[in-house]
Amino acid sequence: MAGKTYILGISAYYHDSAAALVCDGEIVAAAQEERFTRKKHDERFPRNAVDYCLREAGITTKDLAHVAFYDKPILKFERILQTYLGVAPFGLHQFFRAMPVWLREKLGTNKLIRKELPGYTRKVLFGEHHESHAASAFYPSPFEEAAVLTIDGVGEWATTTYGVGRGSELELLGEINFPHSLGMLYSAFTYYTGFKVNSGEYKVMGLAPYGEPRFVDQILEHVFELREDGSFHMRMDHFDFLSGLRMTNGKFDAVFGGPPRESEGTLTQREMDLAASVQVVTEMCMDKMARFVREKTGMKNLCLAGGVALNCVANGKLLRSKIFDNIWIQPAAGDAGGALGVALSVWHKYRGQPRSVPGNGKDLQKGSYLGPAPDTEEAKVYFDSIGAKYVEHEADALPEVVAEILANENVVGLCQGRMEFGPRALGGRSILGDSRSQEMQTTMNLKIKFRESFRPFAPSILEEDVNEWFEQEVPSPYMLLVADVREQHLIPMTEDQKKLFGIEKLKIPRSKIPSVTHVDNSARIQTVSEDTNPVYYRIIKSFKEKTGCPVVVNTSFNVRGEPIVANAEDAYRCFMRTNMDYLVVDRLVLAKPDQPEWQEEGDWRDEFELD
Amino acid sequence: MTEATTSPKQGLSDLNTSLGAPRHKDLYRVKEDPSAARAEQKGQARTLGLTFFLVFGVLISGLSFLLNHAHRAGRGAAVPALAQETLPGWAEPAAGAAADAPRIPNAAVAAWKQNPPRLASSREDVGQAPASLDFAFDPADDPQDAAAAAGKTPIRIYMRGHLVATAYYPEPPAKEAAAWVRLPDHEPAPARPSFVHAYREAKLLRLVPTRYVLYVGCVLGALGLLVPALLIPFYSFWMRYVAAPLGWFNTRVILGIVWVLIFTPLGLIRKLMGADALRRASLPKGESYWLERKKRDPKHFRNGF
Repeated sequence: MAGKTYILGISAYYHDSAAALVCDGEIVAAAQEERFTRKKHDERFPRNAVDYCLREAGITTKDLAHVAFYDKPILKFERILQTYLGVAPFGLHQFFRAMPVWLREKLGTNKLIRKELPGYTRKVLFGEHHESHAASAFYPSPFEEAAVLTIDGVGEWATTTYGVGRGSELELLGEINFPHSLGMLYSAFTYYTGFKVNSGEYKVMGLAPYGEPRFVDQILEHVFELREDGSFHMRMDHFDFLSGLRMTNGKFDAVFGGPPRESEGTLTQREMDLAASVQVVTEMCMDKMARFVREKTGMKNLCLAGGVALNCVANGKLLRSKIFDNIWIQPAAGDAGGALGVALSVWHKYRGQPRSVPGNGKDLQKGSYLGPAPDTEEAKVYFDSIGAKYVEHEADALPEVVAEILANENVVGLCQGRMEFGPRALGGRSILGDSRSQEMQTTMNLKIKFRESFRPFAPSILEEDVNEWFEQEVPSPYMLLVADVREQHLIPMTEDQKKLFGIEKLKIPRSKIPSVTHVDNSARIQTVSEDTNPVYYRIIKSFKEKTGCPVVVNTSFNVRGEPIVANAEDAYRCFMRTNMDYLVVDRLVLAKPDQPEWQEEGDWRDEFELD
Repeated sequence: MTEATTSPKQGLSDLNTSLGAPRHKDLYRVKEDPSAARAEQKGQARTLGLTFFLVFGVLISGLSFLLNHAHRAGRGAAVPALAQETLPGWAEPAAGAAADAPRIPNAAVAAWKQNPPRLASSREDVGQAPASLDFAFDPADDPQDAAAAAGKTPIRIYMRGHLVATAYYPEPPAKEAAAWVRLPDHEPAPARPSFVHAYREAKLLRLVPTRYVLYVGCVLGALGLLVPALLIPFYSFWMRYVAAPLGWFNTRVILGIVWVLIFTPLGLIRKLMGADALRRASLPKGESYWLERKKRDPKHFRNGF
């Protein structure tokens, strides 16, 4: 192993555990544990992900120079104890819940990790939570120097930080501490609108365009003080998450006129208005913070990470506000990305190694295709063993075949190339559809994803065509920016249609690509380039040649509540359980009518918890 | 790895070929090996069996036998008396005194002769008087006539473990029930039992015969040692319905005490002193909520804080 320094980053024991392997500063592999264990947001030690990373590099634990954990457990424990001191005598219930696991396991994270990694004999290193986020945002970015902003729920103490990165230097300058947190505010509204905290936030964001932001004043006046410099303060007497088991309390209910919605209860206009309001406040806050950071650091580029950076609507607005010339967002902005961040942090900060950027605007994230890849020969072994029927194509012919299937308005599950790191499917583990079809959104939501019909789908578009179709000039390879569909592709609404409210708007065709146009004419764009995912690029290119439209619908390859599929086996199972028409695994194409009848044990819909 | 590593990808496929397993099985999901899981369960069941042996077969039953004075049991079927109460005038022999030194003052001997210890079948039912009394080592007493003692049951009377007298009763006491003697001016006291008697009579908390506890400990210990597989169902039951609820309860008791005695007063005191670690108070308008962040030496990576 002469000269090669392997650093393994780990994030675990909270939610979304993951592992990432960095070799001499280059990202070799990264994956989330949930994809392997099929348990969404799996928080256990990422045994399978670590195993995969080591195999991808062809090394064992003995070859690891460092193993690093993404946050500082003892600092976090101190924050938790301080919180209890601050709220006692209330909070006993939480104390009972949190203390045993802290005393038994988490305080001994070093020991715990070393026990999981026999062969690794050195000490485990620990990075600070927000430094890990910041590192994951800055080090893989295409910028030589940039300002960094990290926003999430909470790490140790910090919930928001900003700083500057130059070359291999990365320093955080300021922070806002727990319990004051933009992520927690968003989660509080996720809870209040009846969704599951830590996973239903996307739904709130997706619901926002259906509502009117009529609660913004109440939020700013009663529960969330927002200063001109983007710093903020939460009125803790309206929230219950410090001492209770809920996010909000009766005082909060009084401000917004009613109790939280029951999970799976009816969605009303009120929830949509609440979602729209918290979305507006989030955007305001991020806008002010960005202005402050720009002024403080003088940088022209911005790197974003932390769970709130997955709010692609706010990101898109930030980009269009032109506060910064360029924005790069870590695609695994949540805690999973901390594994990658801390590994890079150890390389550049602890080991003091230099960093070089390609300089042509390309980043070092490799399209975020950092996971395991399916293989045709191996997939055949599996498909033969269960009697599945497939057709094998040459690599060059495959894109055209898939494009043809898509152009006939079929829904295709695509499992090819390395798996994406981060919550977005980017053409490696995606379900594709025809963006020109009017019914596609409803069909895909109800018959394939088994989820709420309001939830929007994202378009994948050829990188060179993005400006032609959307109000966006720069690439968005990680589906983290939302922009409007260009006016020439929109279908104007009639006077009658304009009067419709909320979910009613869903039925109106809004553009030439209705299935990916949200009710506010926006879309969460993924631009596809030939460098990072040539197969996907050629599929869309071929689709464009056939139809004149360089846009396909791209949604993650899973059903509601399930982690995204990892391999041929998962993909086939998901394909057979849903009304998908075709499945593509590497070079194999499977058509639904050819397949033997699917035998299911029990009702699989109970297998995954609703989010 | 050697120089031969050309690309990571190649290293991967080599590895899989050498393991002889297709990648989609090998890489993606580590399936639990059922035989390994069973071996682990067996090991845990064995540990539990041996622990039961130590706790019940040795510790608890041993303690229970001790508390039942079983360690003072004598040999033979006879039931020697043991008086835990102190007789008037009786004293512990001085340290280093000769083993055959008399231990009952003459006055006491005289009293005993007038009103000898009576055999009893229970605390209430006082039975017959002994045919003769032999106060050991009492020079005033006649040497025991062997003929007089023949056919009679000797009951040795102990004071705190020291033999003080032997009473000869014409009728032998029923082996188990008559383990009592009534001493002059005293309630009947438990006689010193024989080993068998002590073993049979000992009870845990006056409720469960101690020997059953011993049996349970020994059987589980033996099973654990010899055939731990048979203990797996018991292990699952124990962990789920006994150990887990007990643990749950214990944790809450201990944490509850910590909460009430430490967190609550400390928190309230700090509140009274004006501390606000969570910065819950709002700042005046115009002031920023940003906090400055201190620069840390990169060595901090070595610490969990």
